[in-house]
Amino acid sequence: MGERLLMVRDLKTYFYSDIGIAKAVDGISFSVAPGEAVGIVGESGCGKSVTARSIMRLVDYPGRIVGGQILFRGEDLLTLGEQEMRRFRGGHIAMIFQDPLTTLNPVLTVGDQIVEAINLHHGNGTLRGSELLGSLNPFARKRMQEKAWARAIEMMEHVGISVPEQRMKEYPHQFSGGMRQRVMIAVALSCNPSLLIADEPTTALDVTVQAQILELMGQLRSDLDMAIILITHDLGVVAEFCDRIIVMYAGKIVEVGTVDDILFRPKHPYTKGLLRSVPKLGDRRHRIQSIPGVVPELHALPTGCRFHTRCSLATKRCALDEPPLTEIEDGHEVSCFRGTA
Amino acid sequence: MDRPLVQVRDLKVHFPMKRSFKERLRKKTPTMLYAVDGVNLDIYPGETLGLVGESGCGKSTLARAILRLCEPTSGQVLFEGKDICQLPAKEMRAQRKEMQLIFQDPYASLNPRRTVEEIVGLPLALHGTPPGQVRSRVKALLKRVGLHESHVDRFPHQFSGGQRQRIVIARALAVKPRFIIADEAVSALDVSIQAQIINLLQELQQDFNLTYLFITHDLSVVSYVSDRIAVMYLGQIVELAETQRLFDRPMHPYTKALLSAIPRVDKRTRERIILRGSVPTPINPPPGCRFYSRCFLPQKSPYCLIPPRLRQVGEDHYVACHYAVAEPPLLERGVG
Repeated sequence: MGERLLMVRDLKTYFYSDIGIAKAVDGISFSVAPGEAVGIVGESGCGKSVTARSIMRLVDYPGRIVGGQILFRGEDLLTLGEQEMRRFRGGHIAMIFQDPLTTLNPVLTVGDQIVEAINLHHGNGTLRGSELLGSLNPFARKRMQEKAWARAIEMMEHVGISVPEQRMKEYPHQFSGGMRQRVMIAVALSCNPSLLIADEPTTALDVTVQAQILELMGQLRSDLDMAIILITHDLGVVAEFCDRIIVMYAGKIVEVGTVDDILFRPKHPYTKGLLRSVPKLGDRRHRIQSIPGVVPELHALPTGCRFHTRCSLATKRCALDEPPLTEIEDGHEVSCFRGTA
Repeated sequence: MDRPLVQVRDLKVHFPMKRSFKERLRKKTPTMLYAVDGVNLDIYPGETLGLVGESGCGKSTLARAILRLCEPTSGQVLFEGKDICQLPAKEMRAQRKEMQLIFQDPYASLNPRRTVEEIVGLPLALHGTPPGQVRSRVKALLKRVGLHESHVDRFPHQFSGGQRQRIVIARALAVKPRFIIADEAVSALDVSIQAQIINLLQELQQDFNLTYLFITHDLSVVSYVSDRIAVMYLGQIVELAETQRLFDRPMHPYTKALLSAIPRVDKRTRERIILRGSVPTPINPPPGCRFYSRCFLPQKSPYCLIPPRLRQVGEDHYVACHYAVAEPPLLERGVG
């Protein structure tokens, strides 16, 4: 398998609310190789965003990571102190979110926001730049600011924003949706991260703009040799962008495999159902085969296999035992008693 | 073919932009936003016409103007030959019984303080159902859209997104309309739920002989439900064709780019046209062909400054591009 960049082992993130414990992520394990693009797909509430936030250790109260390990180049992120974590967050692992308008600060210019990220990590992710900046004499500080500004312009150019010198001085509201997402990518990539987590990066964008952003991300990925975890509900996007796909359902991983494994040889009934519910282009007027029922509430999960209440293949055993994730072919794992047949 | 149920004739909806205090003092004429700018459409009884386009292209404004929820600047909307834009308020209210709207966000379109009975029952009461019969009618409607009779006394927050959209559909069906506009009706739902709602809409169409105008930005969904598809760009229809034809032989460069931009599960290797730039604003749109600034055709020329009109290039296929060439009719028809 070679050396892994990120290994998540038995991660559990629970939310403690008045109505009970919501097991948003309940014991998932997966890994990401350097330079690899992994897609995490699933419906709303399946735990894909919580997984991403757990890796960044950005889970908000009342959520808590209650167990497991997140190994980044062999170092467990969950044992780090908050100060040390800040070095990784943004420096080695960067994240972009769905809605670029709410993640950019409306009262700072776009340039200031990119420069802030660069200064914070001093451009190489090793030094605490902001502290360093305070200790410098005025001349050195100015030189460093200029360097950061030049680097920001370079980043803006890199993500395809024209006239970067001028646009650096503009505010987020002066940018269109696609351009804002480009700015977010510039902020995220300014410190040369080796892992980029993209949480629904194109969901709020129109198809033609989505195509532009995906092309850009693919290009940057090969230029910078960076691994990407792409979280989305759109199977078409992962099909075009990723090497491997992780399918999640109600806080668990139900199937892992290469893009071809998942899309053309799916084994888990949920994956099959999900693929069947996607309307195919130009294929008309057939009844779409939908999955009956709805996703279970996370604080009242069914026993045994979490999918058995909506599954047409379910047996008595499915309601009692939880199927483990087992490898059926090289690199293709499924958690189902019936699906492996 | 039958007589169209809804005819849209050269419809224009322009919005004046806000003027500053200084501009108002100087009585400057306001800048206009050309949301819908000269749209012609015929919608036939029993069909589903899909309307696609990117955000800000005027799809929703067009829908609202067809239902007269916003007053068109000029043009006509004929419902069975009757111009509804000229109807007095009282007749218009009776007319609304025939046409209903389903919105995108099932969370925002249901009043959180009303029970399902009140929500679905209101249109019934308004259009003259005796009070004693409302409850039983509501129950029947709920059953028809796949909910349970016992849901009648619940509040919207007790339902999931898919169930809420079913309530919205029940409310639209309550007055037995003939024409329903679904404005991004399934866009906010998860794939598996989306499939359930699409199936429901299709069943209802057959049972009640409904006519749909199905607005969405999702081309896969629209290809599934529509008989014909209209593609909109910056307030104008750029291409209109029978669904299969549009996907097999798109003629307008914008349609080609749009189709190639969709990420697909089934076919991964294909050449993709990536448009440069973003949609220009509908305030001061470019003269002539609106797509000129992003067009990738090698033939594009100064002739494009002459606005291309929607013209027929094949059976049931209309394109607004000077460079779309009419194809000879299919062979089998000639042999026939």
